[in-house]
Amino acid sequence: MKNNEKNFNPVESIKLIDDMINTAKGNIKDGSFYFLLWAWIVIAGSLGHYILLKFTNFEHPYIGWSVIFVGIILSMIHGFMQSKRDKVTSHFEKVYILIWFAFLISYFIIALFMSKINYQITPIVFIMSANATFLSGVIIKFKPLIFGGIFMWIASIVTFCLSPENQLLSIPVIVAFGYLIPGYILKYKERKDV
Amino acid sequence: MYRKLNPILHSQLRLAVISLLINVKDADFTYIKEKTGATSGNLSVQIDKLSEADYITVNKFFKGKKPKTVCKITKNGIKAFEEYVNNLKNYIGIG
Repeated sequence: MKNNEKNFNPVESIKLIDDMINTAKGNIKDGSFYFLLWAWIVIAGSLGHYILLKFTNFEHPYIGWSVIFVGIILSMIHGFMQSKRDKVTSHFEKVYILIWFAFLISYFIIALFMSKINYQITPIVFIMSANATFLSGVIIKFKPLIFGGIFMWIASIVTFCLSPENQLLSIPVIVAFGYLIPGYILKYKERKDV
Repeated sequence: MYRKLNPILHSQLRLAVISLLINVKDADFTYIKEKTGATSGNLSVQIDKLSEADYITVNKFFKGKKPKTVCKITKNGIKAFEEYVNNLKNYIGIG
């Protein structure tokens, strides 16, 4: 089709440019995978911590969070497999990856020094998650993620007022609205767009 | 006064390639082929012309056992594309 160069007028040029730009727009691949994976990991971690704390005499109930390492390994494997399949890298993708990389770095710093902030890690992690989720939504122009981010900002205010035990129970609810629902909507959208 | 449209870009396939590359960091040959619907032979020729004009860079390498050709728009390419779009706007009276 593009071999024919006759009668190629300025209006057709504009239309062609528009078509091609739309073709490459919003090229964040498998975005929902990470949201869904991490939503379930965080839900499992918080419930694991809560169950160990509430129903056992185990000395280190926070060990429930070690499920995070499973998430890191699965994310790395998925990222590696994806890079082998990728045929294109969008500008947005780099920013998107850096936002979540920044989140991860901040998370580890806070986790390392949580004793210095009276173990008030949950609301702070929600503030950081809200930042990253909100910005991810803005970048891929996807409103459910933007609302997910806003919801987590509000949720972080509420969790500051809860006891540490109740904070653990609030995590699955907040993650369900902040990550899971937007993640499943994104997954549905990705399938529809294929 | 109308300026002449850049003949390197005023070609359906070359313009399609540049429009595609302006929106991404880089793109594989097969991706460009898929999105433009061009034949491999024709696409190769047009990519060479864009590369000779220093509008894109073409990086050929092996990823595992598979050969890959990755194209990326250059600063000159971006400038030429912007000028082309401005001239187009003049032509259709929106500039």
